[in-house]
Amino acid sequence: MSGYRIVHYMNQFFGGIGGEESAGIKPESRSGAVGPGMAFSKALQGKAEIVGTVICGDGYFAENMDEAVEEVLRLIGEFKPDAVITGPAFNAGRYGTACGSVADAVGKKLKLPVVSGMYQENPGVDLYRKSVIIIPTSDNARGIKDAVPAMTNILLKLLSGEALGDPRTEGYLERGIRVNTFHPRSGAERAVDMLVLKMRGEKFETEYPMPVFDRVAPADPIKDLKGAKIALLTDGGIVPTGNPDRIEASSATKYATYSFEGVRSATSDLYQTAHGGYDPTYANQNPNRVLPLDVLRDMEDEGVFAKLHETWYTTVGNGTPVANGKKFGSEIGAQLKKDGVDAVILTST
Amino acid sequence: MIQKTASHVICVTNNPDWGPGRDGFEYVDGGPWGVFKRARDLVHGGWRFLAHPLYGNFNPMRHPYRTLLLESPSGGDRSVDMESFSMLEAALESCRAGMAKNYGGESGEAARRDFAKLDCELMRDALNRYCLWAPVIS
Amino acid sequence: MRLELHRARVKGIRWGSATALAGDGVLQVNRDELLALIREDGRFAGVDADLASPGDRVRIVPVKDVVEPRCKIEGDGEVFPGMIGDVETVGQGKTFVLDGAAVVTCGKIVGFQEGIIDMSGVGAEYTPYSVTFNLVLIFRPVDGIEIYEYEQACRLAGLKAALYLARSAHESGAAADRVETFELPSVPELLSAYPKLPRVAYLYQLQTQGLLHDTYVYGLDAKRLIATIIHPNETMDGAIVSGNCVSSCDKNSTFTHQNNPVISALYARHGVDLNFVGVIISNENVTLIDKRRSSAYAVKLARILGIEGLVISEEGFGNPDADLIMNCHRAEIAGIRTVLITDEYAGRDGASQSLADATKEADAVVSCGNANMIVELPKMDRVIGYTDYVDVIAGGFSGSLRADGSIEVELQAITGATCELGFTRMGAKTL
Repeated sequence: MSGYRIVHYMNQFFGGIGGEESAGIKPESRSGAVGPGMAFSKALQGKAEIVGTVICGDGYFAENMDEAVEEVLRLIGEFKPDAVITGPAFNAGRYGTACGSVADAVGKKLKLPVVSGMYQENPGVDLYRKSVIIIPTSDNARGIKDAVPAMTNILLKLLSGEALGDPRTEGYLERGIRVNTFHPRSGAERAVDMLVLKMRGEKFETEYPMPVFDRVAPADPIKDLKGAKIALLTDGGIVPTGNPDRIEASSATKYATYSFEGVRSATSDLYQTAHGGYDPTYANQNPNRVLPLDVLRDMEDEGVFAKLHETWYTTVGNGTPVANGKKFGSEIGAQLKKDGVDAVILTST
Repeated sequence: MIQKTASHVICVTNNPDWGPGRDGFEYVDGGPWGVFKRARDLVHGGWRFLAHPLYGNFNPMRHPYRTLLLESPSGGDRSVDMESFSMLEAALESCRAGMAKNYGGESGEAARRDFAKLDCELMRDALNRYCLWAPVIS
Repeated sequence: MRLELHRARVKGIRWGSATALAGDGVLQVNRDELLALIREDGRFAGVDADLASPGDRVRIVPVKDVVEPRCKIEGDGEVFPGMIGDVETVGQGKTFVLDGAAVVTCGKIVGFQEGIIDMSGVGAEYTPYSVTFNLVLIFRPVDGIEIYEYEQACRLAGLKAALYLARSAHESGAAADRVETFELPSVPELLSAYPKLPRVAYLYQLQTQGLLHDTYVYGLDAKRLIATIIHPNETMDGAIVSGNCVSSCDKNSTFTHQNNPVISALYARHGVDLNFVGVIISNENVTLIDKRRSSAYAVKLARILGIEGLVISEEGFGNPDADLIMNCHRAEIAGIRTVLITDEYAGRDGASQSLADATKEADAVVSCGNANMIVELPKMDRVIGYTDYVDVIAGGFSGSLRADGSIEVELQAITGATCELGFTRMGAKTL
């Protein structure tokens, strides 16, 4: 028993409770280190100690984010820690989002040093990198042996009050925030230095990496709406009751397609929302609010457009990695073209 | 207004200093955000900017007025001008980054009058070039 | 063209019976004589003058321009050609400089164009004018005057005062502590002198958008210019003058035009690892057609000169970002390598997009800092000017000016803090 008191947050799997079938468990705490916490304990030996572990199911967290964060924070607080570790989550999307969310709250509300670890492409990174120190890890749990020393190293620096240097030297993911600094030389001198190197074909480093804009040219507007076939899509997570295709509440790995045939309105007996990123009350009361089938049927009757495409597509746009978004979009778009659809209404939240 | 070319030019503004009922002027209520939204609708319909939608040196949210100069699509071609579209997105992004200023109180009112004047000054040259008459600043 | 800058070091400033540089390096100023000169312009209802030295617990606000006292001692023309005197070409011969002194003009023109100069404390670290001995002129306009008349009066007053100080000091026998020589011959001579060194030019963007956003070249409103060539020495004699003070952090004051650091940095490397062929000035107008015309023209001039590398500096932010990116893109497509100097508006948290435009060819950028960074300026003992409008200055916000006199404001409000000529050592990095 020595040094700093650390609490470790993890999910149901690493907590040894179970796999996906246990993803719905509510936050609970354990004394001391659990699972991967043991490796951290060893690395922290002499300087810090894992006094407690807080575990929460990834599914529960994704579907009840506000309550989950509040409860997790409360449980963490009970241990009176000096710092917190969350994850590492590797490439597990819901886990990464939960780790980022907990770390963000710990930093802002408990005002404690906190580190997290996850794979570069984990959706939790883009969501929380600005406010959380995230150490990059491999994409699977075998990377634990490198993740632990890397995370421990930074955690100890934060605890000692040492200012963290820049991300590349220190080994954490770039947070994407611009911070002012004084250079030894004036901007003009730095510019001429840079130009000389650039003209020689030598290596130089820009002080401001240009953002890359992935621009998609919009399609031409419809000239003849009355003759058009319109399709309805949503990433607001509306699904048939029971979510038969099990679209995840966050970090969705899939989209699904269903038929509108014979349906005039997205009523609550037929549909529900699976989206974990907003209060589901109003969407569940009347799913037309997110998937406006009723209005479109009326417009179809009135002849505003020719036909509502019978097939509709849905996914949950909550922490979806950009790569998945692109993939879904291209596949759905190709199919819609084949089906002779002229235009799409895509609802979101 | 006499039509000189296949397309026509309008000025979208929320600045009352231009004076009411001017030919070629479209008046929008609300702050700069409202003016940008109207411009966005036009740009999506194929209109293009003749003057850059951002000021030099003011974040749009720090300035109560905005005057924009746009040209209609000519002929039947209503495809989106990508340059105008990019500029508009940059302007909207800039709105999001800036914090809205509150022009309360007497000094706020004096500043508001100054901003209205300056908006006219900064756009006067451009409007004259496209034959949308600008008032004499008094 | 060959120009010698005769720099006399100023080590203090005080009021005195005659305007001269005393033996101890202190600039003495005859206040009455100076004010009489400025008051000749009937557009002022009141002119006042004050002094501020480095380390004083003094705040100067609202700052319009800063000018370095200089005068010609040999060679054609006079400093600030086309503004006070004739338009004869300058940049040759000898020019006297009161090195370490500055004229700061101050006074409400519109309620939001203030800049702040703190002579001590945190704020002093961010402005280059906390280390100069400043003579501050504070103006009050005549009732009912046209705003652009008043702006012109303020602009000219600063230049007159700067010329007066230098001329009087020189005529009273002030001697230079050091002489810097700047010589750049004609282009054919340059090419035969250094045939193997890469040909480099400086593309100098000038803000030209209207009242309080203008720049003057030999007295000509630069929005009327098409991109053109200027000899670097001409800038040292005040051929380029600022009429631009918004926003204060990244406007090029006349002082920085006179002391352009890109020009000095290129001169320093000339003949060593680059051939400094020349300077191209271009403007930053409001209409897109003007932007395109200026950009096409400027890059064409670079190609005519056979330029291989271009340093491009911006003035301001927002739509001028489009000029910077356009110039970069055109030059790179033409095979000219570029380096850009700009500042950033990345938001208070540093997480927003820093520039309003981008192009993948802009792979070499020097940043002069994020202008949205919040700074806490402590209460000062004395304010020269007015603080009434601090809440509405670009960079200020409701509640900026606190009851105790301290100010919470963005870097944007501090004069010269992120000057995009690369004047200071300020920069930014991504964490």
